[in-house]
Amino acid sequence: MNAFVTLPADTASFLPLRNIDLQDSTQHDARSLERFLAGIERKAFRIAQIGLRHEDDALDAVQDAMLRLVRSYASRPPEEWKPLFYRILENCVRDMQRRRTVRGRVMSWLPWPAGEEGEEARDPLEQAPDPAPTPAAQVQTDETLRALDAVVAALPARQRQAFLLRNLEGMDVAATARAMGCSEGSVKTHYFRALQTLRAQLGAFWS
Amino acid sequence: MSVEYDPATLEFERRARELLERSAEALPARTRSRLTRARYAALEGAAPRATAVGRGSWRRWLPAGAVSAAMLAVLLFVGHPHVPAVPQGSVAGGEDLELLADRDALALAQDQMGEGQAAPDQDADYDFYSWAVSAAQDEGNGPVGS
Repeated sequence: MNAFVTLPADTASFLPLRNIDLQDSTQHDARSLERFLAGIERKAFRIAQIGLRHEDDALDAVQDAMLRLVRSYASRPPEEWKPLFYRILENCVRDMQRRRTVRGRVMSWLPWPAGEEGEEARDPLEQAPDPAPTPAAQVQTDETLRALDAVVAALPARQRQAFLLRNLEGMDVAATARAMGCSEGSVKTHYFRALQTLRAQLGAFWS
Repeated sequence: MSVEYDPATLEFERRARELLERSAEALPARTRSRLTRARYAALEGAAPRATAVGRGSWRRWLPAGAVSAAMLAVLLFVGHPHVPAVPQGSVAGGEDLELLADRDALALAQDQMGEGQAAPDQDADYDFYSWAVSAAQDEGNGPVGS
C-alpha cells in the first residue's frame, strides 16, 4: 500500500481525526468510520433512549458502543459496521439495565429515597419523556410519539430490538438478524409480534 | 418464514417509522452536541469521556459505597475485631528504639555490656588511661621535659 496518500484539500475539516490511532486502519478508513458514526448516532441514541428511558444513560451507551466499535472492529469491512454497532449497543443497553436493576435493589435497602435514577418504571406511559424540552414536542403528533416510545420500551427486549432496527433504523431482515445474533425467521417473528402488540396498545392514539 | 401484513398494519408501520425518524432528526441541539462530543471521544480512543455525558455517573458508585459502609459497620460493631497481643519482642524492640534515641541511655547500656563488647568511645577511654599510666611512670623517672 502506498504510504504517501494524497489527501483532499478539505482534510483539515476532519479535526477529530488528526490524532487518531486506528491501528491498521488508514486515514481514509477513519474518515469513513467517522461518517458512519455521524450517520447513525441520532437513531442509535433514540434506540438507546427508548430502551433505557434516560438521556444520560442513553448517551453513555452510544458512546460506549462507538468506542468499542472503533477499538475492536474498525478494520472490518464497512458493510459490517452497522450490524456490529447495533449488537454492541444492545449489549451496552442491557448492561445498563442490569446495573440499574442491581442499583435499585441496593437503594431499596437504604433509608433515604432512591432519587431519579433509582426509580424503576412502573407504568411505561408515566415514564415517557417529558415533551416540553424537546423539539419533538413542537410537532403535532408528539402525544402519539410519547405513547409510542412508552409502549415500545415496554416490549420484550428482542421484540423491541427487532422493531427499532427494522422500523427506525431501516435495516433489512438479514442485517437485523446479524445485529441480533439470531436467524432471519426469528427476526420476522419478533417484528411481527411487536407490531401486533403496538397496534393493540396504541389503537386509541392511532385512530 | 414469510409474513404478509394487512393494509392497516402496513399503515401503522409507516406511521410509526415516520414518527420515530422525525423524533431522531428533531433531537435538541444540546443532545446533538453531546452526541458529537461522544463520537469524537470514541474516535480519539483513550480520550476521557465527555464530562457532560458522564454527568451523574457518580451515582453508580453510591450503592457500592453504601454496601462498603454497611460491611465496615458490621465489622466494627458486631464482629468484635480481634486485637492481636503484642509480642514481647516488640516491647524489647521499643526499648531499643528509646535507647537509640537517647544518647546517654545508649552509653549507659553500653557500659553494662561486657568488655569484649566495648564501644568505640570506651576504647578511646582505655587509650587515655594507658597514656595516663605511662605518663605517670615516666613522671616517676623524672619530670617530663625537665
